[in-house]
Amino acid sequence: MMTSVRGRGLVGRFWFLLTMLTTVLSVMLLVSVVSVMVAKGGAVLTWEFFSQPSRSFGAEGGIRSQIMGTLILAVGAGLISLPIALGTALYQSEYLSLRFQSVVMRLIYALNGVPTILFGLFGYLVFGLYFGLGISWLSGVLILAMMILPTLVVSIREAIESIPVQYREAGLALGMTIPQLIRTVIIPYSFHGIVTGLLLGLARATGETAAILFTATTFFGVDLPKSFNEPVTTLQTHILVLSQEAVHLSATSAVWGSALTLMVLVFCFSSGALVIRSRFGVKV
Amino acid sequence: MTPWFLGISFLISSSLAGIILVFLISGSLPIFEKYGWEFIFGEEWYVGETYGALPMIYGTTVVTGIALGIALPLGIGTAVVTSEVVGRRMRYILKSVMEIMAGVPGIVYGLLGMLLVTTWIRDLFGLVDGNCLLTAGLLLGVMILPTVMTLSEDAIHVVPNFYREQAYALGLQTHEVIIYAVLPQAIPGILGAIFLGTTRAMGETVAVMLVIGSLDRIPDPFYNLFAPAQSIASKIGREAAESIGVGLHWNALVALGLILFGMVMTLTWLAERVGWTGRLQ
Amino acid sequence: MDCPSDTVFILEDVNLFFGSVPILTDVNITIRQRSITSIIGPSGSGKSTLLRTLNRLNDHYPTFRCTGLVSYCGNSIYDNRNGSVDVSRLRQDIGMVFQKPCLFPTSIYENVLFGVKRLKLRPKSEFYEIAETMLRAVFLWDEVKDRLKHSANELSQGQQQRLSLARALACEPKVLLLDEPTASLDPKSSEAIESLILKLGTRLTVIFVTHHLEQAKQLSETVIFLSDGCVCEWGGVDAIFSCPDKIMTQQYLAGHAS
Ligand SMILES: Nc1ncnc2c1ncn2[C@@H]1O[C@H](COP(=O)(O)OP(=O)(O)O)[C@@H](O)[C@H]1O
Ligand SMILES: [Mg+2]
Repeated sequence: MMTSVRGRGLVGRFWFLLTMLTTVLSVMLLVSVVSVMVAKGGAVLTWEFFSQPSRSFGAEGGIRSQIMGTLILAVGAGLISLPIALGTALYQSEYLSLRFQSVVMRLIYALNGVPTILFGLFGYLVFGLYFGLGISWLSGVLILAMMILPTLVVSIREAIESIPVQYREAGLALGMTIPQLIRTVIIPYSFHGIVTGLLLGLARATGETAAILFTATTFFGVDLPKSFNEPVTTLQTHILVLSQEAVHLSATSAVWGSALTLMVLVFCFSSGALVIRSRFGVKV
Repeated sequence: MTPWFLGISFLISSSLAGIILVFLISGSLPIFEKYGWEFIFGEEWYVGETYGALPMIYGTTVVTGIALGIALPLGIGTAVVTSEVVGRRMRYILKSVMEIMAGVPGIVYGLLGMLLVTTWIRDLFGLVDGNCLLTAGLLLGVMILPTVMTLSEDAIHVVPNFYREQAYALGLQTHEVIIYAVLPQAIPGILGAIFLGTTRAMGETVAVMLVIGSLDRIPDPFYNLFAPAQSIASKIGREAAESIGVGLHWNALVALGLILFGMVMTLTWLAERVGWTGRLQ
Repeated sequence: MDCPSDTVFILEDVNLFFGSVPILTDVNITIRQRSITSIIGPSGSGKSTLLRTLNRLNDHYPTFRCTGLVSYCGNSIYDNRNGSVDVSRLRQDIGMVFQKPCLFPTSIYENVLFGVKRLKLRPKSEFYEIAETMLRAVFLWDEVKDRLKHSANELSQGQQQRLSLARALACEPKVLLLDEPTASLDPKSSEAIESLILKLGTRLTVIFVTHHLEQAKQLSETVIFLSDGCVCEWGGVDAIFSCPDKIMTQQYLAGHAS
């Protein structure tokens, strides 16, 4: 009935097509990453592959020690980082003025921006040399704990901030002290944020290579560490070394298998975080 | 859980960035004392003889640039579609995919690059070797795409609905509503997403290390993206294990780290300047 | 677009739904050109929904459905069988002001011209003049003429609402829809808006939602009273306020008076 103004509809259609194209492309790119990984690595994922240590330069056996090593480092980092992150978030929200809180958040964001390789350099010198831990799993755990700290703090803070003021006031009106308030109100009502942060942190630590490359891991010859100053072997190192040096075909397929395993491990943690996030009404 | 424990945790977290900075500065002092600006502008790096960081700075900048060239249009385009065009279910699916994919480890991209993408690039452009700036940039682009997308989408999605309604009521069409009424308000958040993606790309080690060719030289001509090169993070990753924490070589690596830190912190600072305080992934 | 006849809107057997929930059923009303109509009724009765049906703004709720005939100037606006309805053009013809003033985070000047500029309705050379005319029309010019480039968020609620009105008027609409335009304003700003409505009613078709019965009584010629999912009563303002036909209307009017 009414005529259109100067080709606006055309521009709109073009615009729509263009953005749709970017979406399709993005999704295709990411889907192809996953499908290539599954296609290349899926075939070697058997129980033997997970349950046996690797032999003959990765060409035979499985990746048991590597999985263990990756998990030891990640879980260790999570265990160390969690209380510190929680303490930080609580101290900030309960004891600091708003202005100071934002200063602290800047420092946390700054820490988050530090490239992971620099944690490696720093940790190598401080934990490895000064503390005498050498190249060991404990160095790795400490380094990764520093690295994932911002992720945990931000996630926990987000949850604490979203606690309705009334809850807090209800607690204070009952005459609670701040430590009591923390125990009875803040932690229970930000619990989902704590778990989310931990899972996100674990995901990050699990996928990290650079920071532990020359500080905590070795390619070969270890299964489970027996003391604090022994290195572990991890999926990440396994992939890194084998991808560059594997000559044997079966070693190459073991690399794909390790990479797929690593990716799945990371996905487990991050999808756990995602589920909790959407469950608790935080926007996805 | 007593307050002193909270206080100590708080002190640790808030001082770590500073401690790392002090470590980087003190570790790189010998290099700057010996070479001064020569370190930053030098083009040669021979262990034991001379240390020049320019090729690495150049490599880092270029691969990050390529990565942004891919991740920005794709990521922001996808974010717009996800927030403004598709329905709730589809949005949920796309967001979930992106959030999950944001966690894919760098080493996985490194492996894909090393065993597949380099050969594709080689055959596609008829090169001798597919290990080059372009390959590294492409991989980084795909790597940061989900982060850029999901954080931009957050920024677009929180623009209150009444702005859209108001614009529609004035007679604007969907694309005009998005361009003129929604996106301008999402810009701080989108910039934040871009900055975060950029710092990720800049600091990535293994995905770059395996495909960039590790040649400490500025390509000739400098815009030749098919040439092998080197990035700061990749350089440190390659050589940290050999240099045992002492000596000029170590100092040079720490100094490289300081430069990278400076680049990243400038971006983080800019991100905060534009008012970004999003979540981290 | 010119209206051939005297009626702007004709609604025949219109039913409005969200999903499967009927919000308003069996709506039959006509709205004359250059008249002022008010829509009243308890909250949740569908006043906004009805108003937003007229410029198809409900389209942006995925579950919204409309059956029956809604015609604007003789054209059925929901009859989209051959893609003949240009919704964007329709909305240019129908200005709208919301309860909460909604200004874009730019300058006052840019806000007045937002529609004109984006729709390319006028050449650039006329922009300043349009801005001045429109701001004068809403009695805002003297208050803001020295700070046109300032952020629109600096203005008070009342000023913001008048600015929203100026922005709508700048597109030279034939119809003006206002959804509780004074609900979030102080008495003095409300008064300004009210006198504007009266003034505009002489050259535009004005339809507004209100819950101030006094406002409806003073400003409008026609009143539409919504209640219990239908148009309970509609007609001349005097008829409804002095001798309402239905018990429900009586109760509503009485409830508000006390
Ligand atoms: N987007 C929507 N989706 C579903 N139901 C809605 C939506 N918007 C409004 N409603 C419902 O329609 C009814 C009328 O709403 P509305 O027109 O806003 O009432 P009023 O403006 O008279 O207060 C209400 O019951 C409301 O719950
Ligand atoms: Mg309403």
